Amino acid sequence: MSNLTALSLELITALAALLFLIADAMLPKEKRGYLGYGCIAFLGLLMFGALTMGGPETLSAFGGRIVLDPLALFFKQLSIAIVFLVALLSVDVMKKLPDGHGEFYPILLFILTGMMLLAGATEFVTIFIAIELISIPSYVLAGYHKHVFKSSEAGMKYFILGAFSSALLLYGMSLVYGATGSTQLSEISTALQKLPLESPVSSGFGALLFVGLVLMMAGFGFKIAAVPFHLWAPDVYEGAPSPVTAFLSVGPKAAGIAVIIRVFLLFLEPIQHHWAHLFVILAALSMVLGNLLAIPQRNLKRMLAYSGIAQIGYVLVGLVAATNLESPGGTAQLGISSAMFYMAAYVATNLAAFSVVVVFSCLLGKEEISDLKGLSRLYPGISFCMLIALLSLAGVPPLAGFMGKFYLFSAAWSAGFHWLVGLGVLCSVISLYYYFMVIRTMYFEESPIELKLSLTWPQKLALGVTTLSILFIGIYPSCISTVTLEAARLFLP
Amino acid sequence: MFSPYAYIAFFAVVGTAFILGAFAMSWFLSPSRPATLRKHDNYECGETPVGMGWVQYNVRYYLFAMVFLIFDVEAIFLIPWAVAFKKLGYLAFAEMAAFLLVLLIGLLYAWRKDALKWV
Amino acid sequence: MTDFLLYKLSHVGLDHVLLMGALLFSIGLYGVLTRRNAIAVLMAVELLFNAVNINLVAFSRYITPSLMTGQIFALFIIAVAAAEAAVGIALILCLYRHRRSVYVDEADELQW
Repeated sequence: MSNLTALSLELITALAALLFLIADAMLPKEKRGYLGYGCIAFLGLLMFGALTMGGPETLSAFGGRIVLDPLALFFKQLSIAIVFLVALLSVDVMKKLPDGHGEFYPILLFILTGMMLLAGATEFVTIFIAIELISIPSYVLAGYHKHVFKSSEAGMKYFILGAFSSALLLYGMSLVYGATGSTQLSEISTALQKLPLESPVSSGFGALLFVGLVLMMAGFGFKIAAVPFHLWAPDVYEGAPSPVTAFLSVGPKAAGIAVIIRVFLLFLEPIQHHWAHLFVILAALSMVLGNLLAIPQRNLKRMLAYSGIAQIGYVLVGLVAATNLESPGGTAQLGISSAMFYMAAYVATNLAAFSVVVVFSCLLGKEEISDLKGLSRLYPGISFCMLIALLSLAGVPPLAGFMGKFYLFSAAWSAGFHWLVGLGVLCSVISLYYYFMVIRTMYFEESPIELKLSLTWPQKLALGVTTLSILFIGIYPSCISTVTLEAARLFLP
Repeated sequence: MFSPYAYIAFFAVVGTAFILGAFAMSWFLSPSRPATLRKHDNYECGETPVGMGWVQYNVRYYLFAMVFLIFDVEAIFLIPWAVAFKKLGYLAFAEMAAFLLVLLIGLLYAWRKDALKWV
Repeated sequence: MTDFLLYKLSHVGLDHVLLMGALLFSIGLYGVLTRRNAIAVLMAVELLFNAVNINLVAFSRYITPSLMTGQIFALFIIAVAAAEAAVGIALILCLYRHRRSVYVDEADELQW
């Protein structure tokens, strides 16, 4: 009998998703609006339960195919927080849809199950199932406004590129399985020590392994939208319903970073000199191209898509800092911890920015940057949230984004990647320009029309929680960094 | 004596010969009648077809096809379980029951949402 | 000649099967990248998945003959690919209802 406590959060969430599915099918139409509030309440309770879990010990289930260690628990808590905030943002948007808004919440909970499963998966089949449990419902969500052409187009594009990237990932996994004879990461890790890897081309198995690793990296790269695998992101973000875009901009990225940390940095660490250079390239390209392409954007969601690509570049800098390419040993814990910290800060910040976008597009149906003109005079509260979020994305002290970048760049500096730190700082300076363009539009331009916004309590709660956590993490960073450092203890030699 | 692939080759040859033989037999044995218009119909008995064969099928067929596809493919998990049923014991039975329950909820959902109805 | 053919046929090695998987993957890749019809793209994606299945079953047979890992993995891929195809067809139908067309290059509202 397996140790099911390692899986308790996933099992509870999956059961709840099934219950919501039955409730949606059985309840009369006029009562389905309450499902959203039920979902919010459930996620709040789940968050509470997940926060009380923990302890430094590692639980494992199903013969070590799924583990629950501090690293997995951190990403599970982060996933619950993401889905909780997205549910808060979606309630009022989904209520306005003519039909079928009840399906939204079971889909969201299935995605949450996948994200939590992925955080603890240590075997290829489990990783694949978890990734598909995130991806397939995400295609549905991207095309959820089925009466809007843009949304259907976004769903279609996300589906084609997502399925394609899953196939690449699987092909890579099959080759790694062939080279090492196992799908369990721990067994792969031990098998690597026996393979003659120093001359990969002359030994067939080495070649299989490296082609497999590159394909897997491409598959994961698609999921986190790192350059050059980012092409789907702007189109999908623009076309998808705004709360879904809010989810897509953080959810798959957090889950993808979790699985990259586990697969590459934990288990494939013995052969890191073969793959670490590729991550350096991904990080540098994402930072540079993400920031440069964000500058000419007119649509707010599209601009945030490119900014999200740039932000994932910064997170990858943290992962690169955890390798010992430049300096032998000693920085793994710092690098992983800083990447996890940055991911948490990015989730709070980006969801704050998207809360404003959702409120705005839900009430006015507008998503262009120029539509924000004069927002500050009419709605000082909302524009203050946007101001805090954008400044945090740009990395202005004393906000969460600044502390995140500070940890990342200091970890990368001590790992010896001086040029990458320089590039990162330069890119942050570039990013100030386009974030300030939005702030200028909000604060220094006159509004052509009188707007009439009235926020509902879930929207207020989402805006409040995210904005306060940006400030809180920025002023008191050790509340997160102690947890991430503890979780990254796994990486001590 | 023979490799397993030789049997496949053997069956391929015999199968082809059998089909060709059947055609040849019917060509030899059937009485020859001049072709009439009736004979060129798609169906010689039953409904007279209307219009072209290349029509767009009603989109509702795809809905049924999709629902069928999902439930059909899940059977691949049932077959290995059924084959090894006696060895696996009660835990596997409980796991499979849970799996089928999830499928059943899916079916219930499809039914309540009128996905099984011809609308 | 017949002896040679029979020998060749009875000694199918891992490399032959992998080559076949790689060929299938390449055909699928070509289809995904060049086809305009969304249904054809979907079919090409299925080819990609099947190429992976061939690889997995071959490795399972030749590398770990006593374990079934690769074959089990292939079963899961078949099931997930079916779910993926169902969602894909639903999305294609959604697109079709808007434009009366399943050509992916006619869905071009999201550019810049």
